[in-house]
Amino acid sequence: MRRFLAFALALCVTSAVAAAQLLGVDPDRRQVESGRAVAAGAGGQGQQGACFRCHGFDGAAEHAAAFPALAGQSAEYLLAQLEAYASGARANPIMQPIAAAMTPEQRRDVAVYYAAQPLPGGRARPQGDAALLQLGGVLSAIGSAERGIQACQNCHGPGGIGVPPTYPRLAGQPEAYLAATLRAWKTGERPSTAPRMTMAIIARRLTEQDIAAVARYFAAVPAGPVQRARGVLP
Amino acid sequence: MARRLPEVDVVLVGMGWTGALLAKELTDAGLRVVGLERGVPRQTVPDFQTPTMHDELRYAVRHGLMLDPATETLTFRNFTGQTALPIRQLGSFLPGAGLGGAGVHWNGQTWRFHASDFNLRTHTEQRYGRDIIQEGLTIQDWGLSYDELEPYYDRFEKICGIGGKAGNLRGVIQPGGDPFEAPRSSEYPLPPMPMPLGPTLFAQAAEQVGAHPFPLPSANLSRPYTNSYGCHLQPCNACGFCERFGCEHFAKSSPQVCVLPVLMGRENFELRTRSTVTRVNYDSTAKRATGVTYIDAMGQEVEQPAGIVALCAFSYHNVRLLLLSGIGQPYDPASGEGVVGKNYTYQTMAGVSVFLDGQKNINPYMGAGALGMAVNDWQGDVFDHSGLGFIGGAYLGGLQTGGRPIEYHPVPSDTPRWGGAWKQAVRQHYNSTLGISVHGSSMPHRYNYLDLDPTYRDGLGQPLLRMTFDFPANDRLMADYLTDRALEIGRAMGGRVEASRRTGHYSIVPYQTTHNTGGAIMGANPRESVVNRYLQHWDAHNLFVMGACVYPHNPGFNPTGTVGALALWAARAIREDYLADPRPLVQA
Repeated sequence: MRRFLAFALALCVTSAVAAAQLLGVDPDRRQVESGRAVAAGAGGQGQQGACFRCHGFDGAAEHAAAFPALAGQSAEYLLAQLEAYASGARANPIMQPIAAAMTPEQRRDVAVYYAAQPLPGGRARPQGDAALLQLGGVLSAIGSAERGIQACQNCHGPGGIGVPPTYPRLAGQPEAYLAATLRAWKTGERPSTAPRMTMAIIARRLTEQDIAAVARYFAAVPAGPVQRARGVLP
Repeated sequence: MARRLPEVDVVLVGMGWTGALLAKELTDAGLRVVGLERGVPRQTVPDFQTPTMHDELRYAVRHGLMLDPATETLTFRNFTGQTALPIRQLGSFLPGAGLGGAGVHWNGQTWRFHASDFNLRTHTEQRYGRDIIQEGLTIQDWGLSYDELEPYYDRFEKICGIGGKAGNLRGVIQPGGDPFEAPRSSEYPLPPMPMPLGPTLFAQAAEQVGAHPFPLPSANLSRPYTNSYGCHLQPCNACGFCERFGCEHFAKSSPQVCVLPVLMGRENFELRTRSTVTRVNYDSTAKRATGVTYIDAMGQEVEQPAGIVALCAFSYHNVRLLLLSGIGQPYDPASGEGVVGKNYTYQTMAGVSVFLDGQKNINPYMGAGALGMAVNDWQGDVFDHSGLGFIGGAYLGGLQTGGRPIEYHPVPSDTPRWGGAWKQAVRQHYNSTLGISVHGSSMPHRYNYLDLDPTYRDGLGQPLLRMTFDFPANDRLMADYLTDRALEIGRAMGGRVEASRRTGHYSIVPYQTTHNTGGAIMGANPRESVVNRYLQHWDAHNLFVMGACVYPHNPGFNPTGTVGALALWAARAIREDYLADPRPLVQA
C-alpha cells in the first residue's frame, strides 16, 4: 500500500507542478530565446535539423506539404511528441533523428518557443465535397452510434480548438496530416497512449471515408481567434 | 376501456439497470420480453455528447435527467403527527427518468455489502445481545447469505468492468485492497484509476491514524474493456461530469453501454418508451399477476397481459405500484402489521471539509464519480460496538468527483455568503480543499415508512406516495461517531477542519444522496417481508420486485452493486428454477 501511495503521490506531484506552471503563466523568456535558436538550427543536427525549414519560425501549418501547425499547441503536448520521436515511440523518418539529436533542454525550449507563437488568423475555409464535410462535422460534434465512437470535441474542445495541456488542437491542421495521423493510429504505426489506447480504439473503428471526412472538417475550421496556449516547462 | 394486447412471456416495468439485466437474461432463455419505460429513449451518441452534456446549469442545477416533479412526485413528513405535503422541487434525492434510469446519471461507486449485513439481526444479537438494538428499530435478516450472492456480485462487476483492488481473495487478505471486505472469488476485472493528489493525501492521513485505505471500487473505466456480454467500453478521461450527467465517452458503466447494445434488436425483445405503468393487474383468487396497465405515448390506456411481471422502476416507485395495485398488505406503523411500505430507509450522510489554504494544488476539476480512496475500518460491524449504543457504520471516502464551476466552491462556514469577501475565499480555497464523506448506514425504524397519501394525487388521479422519515437516534449516534473518525483523518492531513454533522430532523430540501431503500423488503417469511429470497412476491409467484426497495436496511455503502447482483440472482432463479415449474420458490 505504501509503495502504491508513494507512486501515486509522485505522479500527481509531477503533473500538479506542470499544470500550475502552465495556467495563466507567461513563458520564460530565456526558454523562448533558447528555443528559437534550436528552431534556427542549434540542435544536434545543425542546419539540417532546423525546425524552421519546415515549420517556419511562426509554427504555422504548411497545408500543401502536410506539415502540422505547432503554434497554439501546448508546450506539454509538443514536448511529449518530441520525446516520443526521440525515443522512437512515435516513428517518423524525419522527426526521429532530429529530436534524438537534441538535448532534453533543447526539446523543452523549442516546445515552449512554438507554444508561445501566436496563432495565425482564420484563413481556412471549407472546400470540396460538401457531403463529406458534413459527415466530418457530425463525427466531430456527436460521434457515431453505428461505430460506437464518441465526438472528437469531447476531448479536443469545441471546434477542435484543443484543451491544453493534454489535448492538441485539431482546428486548422493540414487535412493530409490529420488523415495520415489517424491512419497511423489505425495501423498501430503511431502507438496510442497505453493503457488507455483511446485514439487507437477510435481510429480502428473509422472507415477510410470517415477519416477523409473528419480530416477535411478540422482542416476547414478556422484556427483562431482563441486564447493561445501559454506555458513554461520545468 | 383499455386496449388489450396479446400476452407476452415477461413484462418489465422500468428499463434502468435491473430492467436491462432481466431483459438480457430472460431473452437469453428464449422468453418474449416487453420492456416498458415511461421516459424517453436516449443513447451515448448523440444524447450524451459534449459540450451539450457539460451543461452544469441544465443537468446539475435544473436536474435535466431527473424525473420532473410536475409529472410525478411524493409527499413528505418527518413523523406521523404531521400532514405530509407534496415535493414540488427535487432536493434530497434525484430519481432518474428515461431509458437507463439512474444508471445514466450515477457516479459509479460499486460496492458489495458485508456478510453480516445479510443476517443483521441474528449477527447483532449473537455478538452484542438484544439490548444494543434500540427500541423501535425493525432490523431483520435478509433471507439469503453473502456467500450465496457472491457469484452474482462477481458477474455484475464483470458486466460493468469495475476497477478496484481486491482486499480479500477467497479469505486471503491482499495488500492494497480493503482488508475488511467480504471474501471475493476473483480480483476486480480492471485495476483502479490513477489517484489524484486529493485522495492520495486522504489515504496517507488515514494510514497515519491506523486505518486501511484502498481505491474505491469504480464503474468509471480505467481501461478499454469488453464485458461478459461482449459490449465494448472505453476508458474514463476524468472530465469531472459523472453525477447528474450521462457519459460521453462510453466510459461509465450504464445500461446503455453494458447491456442495451446486445439487447436491442433481438426479435424477442421489445422496448416501449413513454409508457407509464399505472398498475399491476392482479387476480387475488389465483394469487397471480395477470399483466400491467399503462398509458402509452399517445395517452391511450393499454393492457399488457404477461406470464411474468417484474417491477424494475426506481426503488420507491415500485412500492407505490404495489400499493396502487392492492398487492400485499400495506404496513401500519400503529400496529406494526402489514409489509408494503415497511422499513423505508435512506443513507445517513455527514462530512468533513479540510482546508489546506493553498498549501496544495489538488485540481478538483479533474475527477470522476467514483475516483477516490476510502476506509472501511468503521463500517458495518467491522469494529466493536460494545458500549457505543448504536449499530451500523460508514465508509469514509476522500473522493474527487469534479470541481464544476456553479456548485463547487468550498469555503469555511464563517465566510460571507456573497460579495468581495466570498469571492476572495473561493479563490483561496477552490484548489486546496478536500472533502471527506461519511457514507453511513440507515437502520429501519417502526415509524419510517411509505404509504399512499390520503389527499394528494398525480395527473392521472392516482394517490401520491407518502414518505414518513426521520433519522433514528441510532443513526445519529453512528454518524457522530464516524464524523469524529473523519475529523481525526482530516487533522492528520494538516489543514483546518470543519465538520458537517448530522443534526436536526431529516430535511428533504438539501441534496444528500439518491439511496432510497426499503419499502418492499425481502425476508424469510411473508409475515415480515414483501418478497422472498428470490425477490418473488409472497402473494403472487409470477411477480418479481427488483431494486433497492427490497433491502430490509441500508448498509453504509452505495446500493447499486447489490441491486445488480440481486437482479442477476433473481434472473437465474427465474430461468433455472421457476420457468420449468412456475410456483412459489419458497414455501411460506
